[in-house]
Amino acid sequence: MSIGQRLADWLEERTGLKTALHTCSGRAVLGGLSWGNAVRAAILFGLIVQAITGLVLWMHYSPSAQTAWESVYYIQYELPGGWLLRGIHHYTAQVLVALLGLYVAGMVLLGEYRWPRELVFWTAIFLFLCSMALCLTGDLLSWDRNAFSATTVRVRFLTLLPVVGQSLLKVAIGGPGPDLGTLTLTRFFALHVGVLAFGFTLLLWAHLALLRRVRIVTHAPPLPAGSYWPAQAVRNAAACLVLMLAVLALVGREGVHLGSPADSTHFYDAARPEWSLRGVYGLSEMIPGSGIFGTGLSWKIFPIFIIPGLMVLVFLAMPFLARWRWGYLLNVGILIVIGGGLAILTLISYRADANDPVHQAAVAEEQQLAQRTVELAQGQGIPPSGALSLLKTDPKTEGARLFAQHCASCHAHVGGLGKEFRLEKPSAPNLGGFGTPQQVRGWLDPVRIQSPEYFGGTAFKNGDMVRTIKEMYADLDADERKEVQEQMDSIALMLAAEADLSRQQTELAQQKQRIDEGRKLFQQNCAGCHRFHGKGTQSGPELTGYGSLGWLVEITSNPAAAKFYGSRNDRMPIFEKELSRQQIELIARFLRGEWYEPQPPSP
Amino acid sequence: MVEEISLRPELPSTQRRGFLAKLVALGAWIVAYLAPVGAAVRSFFAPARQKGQGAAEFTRVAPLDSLPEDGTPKKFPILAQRRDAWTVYPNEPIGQVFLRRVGKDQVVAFQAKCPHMGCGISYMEEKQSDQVLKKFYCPCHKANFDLEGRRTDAVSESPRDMDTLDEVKIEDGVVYVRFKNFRTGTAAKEEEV
Repeated sequence: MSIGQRLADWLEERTGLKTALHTCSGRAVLGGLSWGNAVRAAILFGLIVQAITGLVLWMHYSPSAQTAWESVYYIQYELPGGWLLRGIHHYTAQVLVALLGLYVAGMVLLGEYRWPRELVFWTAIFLFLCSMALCLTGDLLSWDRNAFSATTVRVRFLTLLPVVGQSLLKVAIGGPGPDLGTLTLTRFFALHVGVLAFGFTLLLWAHLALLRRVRIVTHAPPLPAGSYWPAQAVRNAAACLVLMLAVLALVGREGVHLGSPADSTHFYDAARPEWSLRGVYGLSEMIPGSGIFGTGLSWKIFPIFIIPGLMVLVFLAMPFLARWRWGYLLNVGILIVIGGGLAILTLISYRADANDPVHQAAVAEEQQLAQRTVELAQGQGIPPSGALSLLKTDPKTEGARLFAQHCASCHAHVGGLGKEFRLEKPSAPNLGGFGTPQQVRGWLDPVRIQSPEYFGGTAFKNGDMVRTIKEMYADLDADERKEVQEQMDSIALMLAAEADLSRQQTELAQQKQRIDEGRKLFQQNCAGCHRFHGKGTQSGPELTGYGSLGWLVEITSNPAAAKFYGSRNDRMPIFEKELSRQQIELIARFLRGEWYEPQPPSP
Repeated sequence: MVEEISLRPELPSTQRRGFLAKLVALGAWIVAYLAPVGAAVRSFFAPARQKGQGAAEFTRVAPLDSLPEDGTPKKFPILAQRRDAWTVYPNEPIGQVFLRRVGKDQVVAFQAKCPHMGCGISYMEEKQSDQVLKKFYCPCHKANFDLEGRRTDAVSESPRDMDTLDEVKIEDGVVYVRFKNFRTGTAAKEEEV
């Protein structure tokens, strides 16, 4: 006897496994071979896939406000195979929701809820609901802006409930709120991987066991004759394979999105529920939020709780409705009305968003933020305070946002690096490309200095500086004009060198001679008004370090300081009163175009 | 199968009685489970009674000068100590407000959170044929408000007008607000604690 044979016998003697397998696989399938069985096999397969991928995701996931997004980022972008793992987990969940929905619909169409199948039908409904709950809890775990914002709205729906609403909200959040936080994550995580995952498994087991019992009770004939192995197994395996191919196709085509990290002060304007809840969202949009006849309750309680609750109840009641003569047709009608209605509402909702420029702008902004966070995380690593702090200290993002909020109503930002801000009627100079020779040169040009790009919109439009520059160019013949222009070029190069922008260091290093010449010319022509490296008189702004980080921070902090505009300061706020030093620095770095950019891969 | 069942023969009914034994069994089970289930329920529902930060002191928001005199609203974060679970952040945004100048030195403050479901309200300027419409807008469920915070949609998503923060003071040219959160989803404006 071979070793293998002896081992098999040893096992058989102690477990009876071989006989059991043989009996099972050879036995005729109760109720006959069917594709229905294959669908159930696919659902079981989906559960196993979720268990396998979920467990390994679990090994890399860390639920807290500073680490949730970060660990998902790690899974998605750094862990080998992580993107596929997360992709399969995400899309299998979506496919399971769809499959269970169709499964319940199929049972309604086939009337498979009649005696003694009531519990089989009900467990199928609960499986569908459980799969949705798994999606809702799983959705938050990525802790990106969409997850945070959409879940905020979702848990806030609880406040529509009278009396207990406020307490339930806190129980859902896991703390006093008002914002979701670490305890919301730990709670949702435990619900997702513990309560709901276990619940789903238990329900599926109950569903299959009940179905088996139904077949015994009803003496379901084994037709067409066939055994599990291999006739039914072929169908089952095919269904599982189709499911996985669909999932892989979705992962390959769409990928799984990871937005920018959750930010309670930057609510995601385009937050929307997942596709499976879009119908209810569409329904809710049609109902006003105002109070019901002067009571404290909002009409919204209908689309959010009462109508969906009634829908579930009506499905649960189908086995009883079917006892009536036309009951079966009624049930089919209900299915068509509810299913069709939700499908139409879903389409309307998606179409409305596609045609809404505000929504589209929010989506585009979020995509940029997400991409930028990943760039920063990959380039600089994530600090202990989390990835959000990377964004909040990034001049390209936060500097631009602060500029938009505090500067862009007067200053344009065109022609520089980073985001552009345009103005129809600027009341202050364009700050794009600040500190570059081209930008400085405009101050020294009789036409440009008076244009809206420079002093055109300000009180200095006809001031001393404009007059001085104009005088310098007045009454010149062509040759003289050319000479003055070249001298001005030198001064511009010299002032640009003061800005010390890293991106023009090499360029300016080659112009050393002209810069020296520019410095001499400055002392002769400009130092009468502008103090420069300790020399000259102060009436115009000091230009030592013009455009450098320190100079920009100083002038932004207090333009009315004696060394800048003093009492002649024209409307520019003293920003040190409303912004922190760090925020002013971010604006200054934004103007200088200084921020991390990923190096293009070397060829 | 058949063999297994015969291993557990049906006992005569007299031997299955024993009221006391049943009572003891049930009682012992209940007592044994009491502590773990009780502790679990207690902890799980603990947040229901927790109180939030509530109305703290007046918080410095912004200098009066930074508010446009034409009454265009501006959004500001409320910086204060924020606690999330066990972590305390010394100086973080705990919410946002809109400040709007009315008259030379009077300011109205709005909670920037939508009374419907707590989304972030934005200030928007909408270009209409020949003029600019200034408004507040909540994009989650598309609710429009005018600059006084009143709902302007025929059928509004929001159960009430925007929440004003009524305790505002101006000292030495700086605007201070006593920041509060309000319940969402209800027609009545009630503080969320």
